Amino acid sequence: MERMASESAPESLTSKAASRITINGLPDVPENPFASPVANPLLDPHHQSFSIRAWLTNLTRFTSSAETPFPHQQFGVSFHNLSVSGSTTPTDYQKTVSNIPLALVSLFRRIAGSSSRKIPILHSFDGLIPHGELLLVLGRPGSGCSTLLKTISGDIHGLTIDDGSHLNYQGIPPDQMRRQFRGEAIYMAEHDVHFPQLTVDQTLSFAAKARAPPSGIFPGVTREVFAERLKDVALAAFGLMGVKNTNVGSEMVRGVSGGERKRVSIAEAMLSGAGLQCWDNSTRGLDSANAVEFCRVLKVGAEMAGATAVVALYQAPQVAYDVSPCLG
Amino acid sequence: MFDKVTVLYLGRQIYFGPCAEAAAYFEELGFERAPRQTTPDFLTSVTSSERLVRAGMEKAVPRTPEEFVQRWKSSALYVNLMKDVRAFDAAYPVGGANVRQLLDAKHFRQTRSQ
Repeated sequence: MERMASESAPESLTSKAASRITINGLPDVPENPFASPVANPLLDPHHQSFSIRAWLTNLTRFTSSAETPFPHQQFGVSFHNLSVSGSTTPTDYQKTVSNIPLALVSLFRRIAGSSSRKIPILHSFDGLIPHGELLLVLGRPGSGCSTLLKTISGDIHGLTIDDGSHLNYQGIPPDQMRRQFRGEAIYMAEHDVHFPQLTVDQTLSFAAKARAPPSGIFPGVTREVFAERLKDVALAAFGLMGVKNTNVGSEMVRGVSGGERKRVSIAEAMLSGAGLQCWDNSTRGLDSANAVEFCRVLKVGAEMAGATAVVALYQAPQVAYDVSPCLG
Repeated sequence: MFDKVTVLYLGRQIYFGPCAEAAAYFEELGFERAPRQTTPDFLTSVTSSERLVRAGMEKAVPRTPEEFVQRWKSSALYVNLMKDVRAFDAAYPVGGANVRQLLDAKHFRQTRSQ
């Protein structure tokens, strides 16, 4: 992987960040990243010398040099006096046929106004994550890391944001964020949930197609071609080319290894291209080299596309924490 | 690789700021880093019984989450953070011009037809 010329976080975006990167073998004039056949082996996901950094740099250069530059979709987030509580009822059932009557009783009770118990989880948090920055969330299990991530990503099922809390997604209030920009803020849970019988290739194809832009945004490129190429790039970037025709698998179904499955989840989330990503202990099950590689990919995403990431890690490697120019 | 770090202690925020200054902040409070301990481990260790206190600081260090919060909210880093938050909110006021731009960007990417 090529090295970065500078380690400082870019205040803003793309063209600036791209111009600071020197990559041998990339032509001055960017080529259409989705055109085929691919002229430059650095940009060909099926070629051995493929480099994800080169590919992203080329993409960034291409989009910023287009006649109508692509509008940026970047989300920083600030929060002030943010308090979150969970609510619980004294009894909570996994519903079965026999205890439905019991559940009905508690439903009536709720309607009648007997309040459910509120349990404060987060107390008065303040913070600011400008777009293009990475935030590391540290804390022992049970200290509220997941709740903070869920709150920021708007995945607040079962949680209540208390009155007086203030959240600002670069000008967008939290309720509008949840309504109109649902796909732009994602929460990645610790556990991987996949369709075990699908192959890695099928899983990522679906993810890529689900978020492919309309045909013609890149000259002469249809949605299908776009999704296909992006999927190949993700396969190559996360070292999954070799297992692309293997089932993803699960505890019960034979498939790829645990580390590979984790990488499938990460690749899937990356394909969504969400501007605000919350990763909950995503390096669980990865070895430390892969954990560092994961942080590096997030960093590249942040620098190139101005993506913002909030990452909770329970075992953060020192290399991932250190700001070191030779690692960028 | 990270720009900022936040440390949580039983639902309380006890640090939010630059990675480079986090360890120094807790050392200033009176905590000591174990030999060969990684920075993230040091930062989480102050919220557990693993914490090491520098000799002579036993009385001064915060112990409960509330004490940590009190120290955090009276620190210079917190004042800076609040200043930055206010600047961000002023640059991107809720419901301001940026909303239009983000909605346009969203529509640009959305598939209109198959």
